[in-house]
Amino acid sequence: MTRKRLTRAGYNTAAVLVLLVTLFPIYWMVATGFKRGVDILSFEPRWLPIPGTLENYRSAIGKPHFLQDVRNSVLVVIATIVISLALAFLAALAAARFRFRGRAALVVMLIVVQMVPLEALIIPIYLMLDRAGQTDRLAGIIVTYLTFVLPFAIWTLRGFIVNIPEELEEAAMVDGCTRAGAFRRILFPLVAPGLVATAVFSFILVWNDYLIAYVLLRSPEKQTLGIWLASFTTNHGTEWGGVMAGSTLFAIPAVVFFLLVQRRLVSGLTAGAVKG
Amino acid sequence: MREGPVVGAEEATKPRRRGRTLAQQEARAGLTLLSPTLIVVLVMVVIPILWTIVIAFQSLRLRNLRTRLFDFQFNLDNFTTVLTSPGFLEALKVTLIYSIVGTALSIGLGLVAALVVRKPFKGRTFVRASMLLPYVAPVVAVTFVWQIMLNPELGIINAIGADFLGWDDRIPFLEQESGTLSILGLDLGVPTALIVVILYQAWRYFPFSFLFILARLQALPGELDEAARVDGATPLQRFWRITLPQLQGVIALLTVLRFIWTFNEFDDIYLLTQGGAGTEVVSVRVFRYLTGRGDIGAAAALSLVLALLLAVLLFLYFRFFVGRVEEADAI
Repeated sequence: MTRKRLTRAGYNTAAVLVLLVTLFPIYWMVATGFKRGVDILSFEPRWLPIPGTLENYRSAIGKPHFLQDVRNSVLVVIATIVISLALAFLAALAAARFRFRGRAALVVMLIVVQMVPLEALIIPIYLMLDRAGQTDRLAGIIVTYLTFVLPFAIWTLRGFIVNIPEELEEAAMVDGCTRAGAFRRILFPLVAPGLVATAVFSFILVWNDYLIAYVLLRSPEKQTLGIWLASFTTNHGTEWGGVMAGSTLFAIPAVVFFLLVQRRLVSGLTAGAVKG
Repeated sequence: MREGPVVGAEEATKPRRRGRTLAQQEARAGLTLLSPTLIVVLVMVVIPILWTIVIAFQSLRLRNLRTRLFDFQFNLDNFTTVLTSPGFLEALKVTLIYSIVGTALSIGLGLVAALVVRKPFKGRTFVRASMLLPYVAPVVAVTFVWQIMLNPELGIINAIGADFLGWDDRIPFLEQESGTLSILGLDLGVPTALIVVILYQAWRYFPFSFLFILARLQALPGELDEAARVDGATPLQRFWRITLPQLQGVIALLTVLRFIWTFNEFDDIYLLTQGGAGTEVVSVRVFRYLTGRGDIGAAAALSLVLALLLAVLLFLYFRFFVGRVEEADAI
């Protein structure tokens, strides 16, 4: 009995330790964003942001192009998600429910595409967009993001669709539904949560991106939030409080959306890997 | 969904007799659904890859981009430049160390975390969700926090080191190429910045391994573990002989995925150190050729070298390490 309790205690300690290491940097980001400048710069660390201040947030929001870049980010993210989800749903449907030659090759291709080094792709993509006059344009970057979101979205959606018994659609078709009708009336409502989860993960991928936006968008009024934040320090020295407040603001949408759907997202992401 | 009805109606009313054509129709419908995706992949992935190969053999620079783009003169100059330039071998070494140790650490940490939250307890959902935060938070934001935490003047890590661990000097973790670590009177030379970058990558990416290992753990049948316990196996024995062998498949899969991603990693290192202080991996060098020197040809050549090297490493891995593991078990 004591031994069991000891094991339990060991497990709990390990859990707390892992959690502490994982979360401390996140805590530090939020806490520093609320600290006064003197407290941030002091040699002795302040564990809690007391006395706190909102000055850092005011300064971050007051930075040039903040609102413009928020708007750009939101626009790019929404456009990418809507287009990629529509395409991915059709492709995932094909991969999960239709039998045709090359289907296995398709699934392999989805994995391989995600393996291609970004640095190798970004050069010709830049040249192509440059030819088409689409660098430094939001349309150009949306198309580029599509390339990176699509394979992942298809992979996840396929996992969700595979987990829904095909018999449900067959029953509807026996009762006189067309195949498209069966997809729309039976499959679609059942996959809807999966679509939401996939949308959120695509959101996170695009929202968090740095490299692509950095290469493709040049002018400050065309940039996305990630670039806005990364260029934060150059203005007048390193203003750590403002940087941390900006980081927190930037991280909030990704983290909140993720927490809302995390349980479903996790099952969708790993379904393909665990069940096949 | 337009193309569905015809196929569906056919299939519903005329089963069996025209089996072959039905199969063909189904194949056609499937490919129609796929076609938009295939077009995007062709235009944005396949063509760029082929083009990268072409560019690697051209002398193309940012400044002669407009005039030289369709000037097809092929030679091996880019490869000579890239392979003989000073620091190339060093970057290769750093890349290998970074990817191998980083992959191992992130999977190891993921395994520990998954084992820890395996059994249900109060607040497990919360703990599980929190463990994913490093992976979900934006890279620009988290690299900034690490910079501030590791800062020699105002960083919390240095403050803890000075207060509790008795460090004499403040350590510029991200700027120091090599430091000395004293253990039991022994002075060991350590690549400080490289270690920090590897630890960062383990911290940021362990949630990915954690997710997959946890999903596999929860799908394991409990009987084996139960039987071993009845027979008096210790927890450690049960882990090594019952649990771990069953995780072999998913760990092999994670090793491949994480290694590929770590090998190609760019943003994290670039944002943390700009590739300075002995952390210049090959992908950062590609970027330097591209932006610093505007040498598009050399950047393309180096990224090809990187991709080829990755392919060779993966081939070796599958040839010599995975032979025994059932791949089907993992995928």
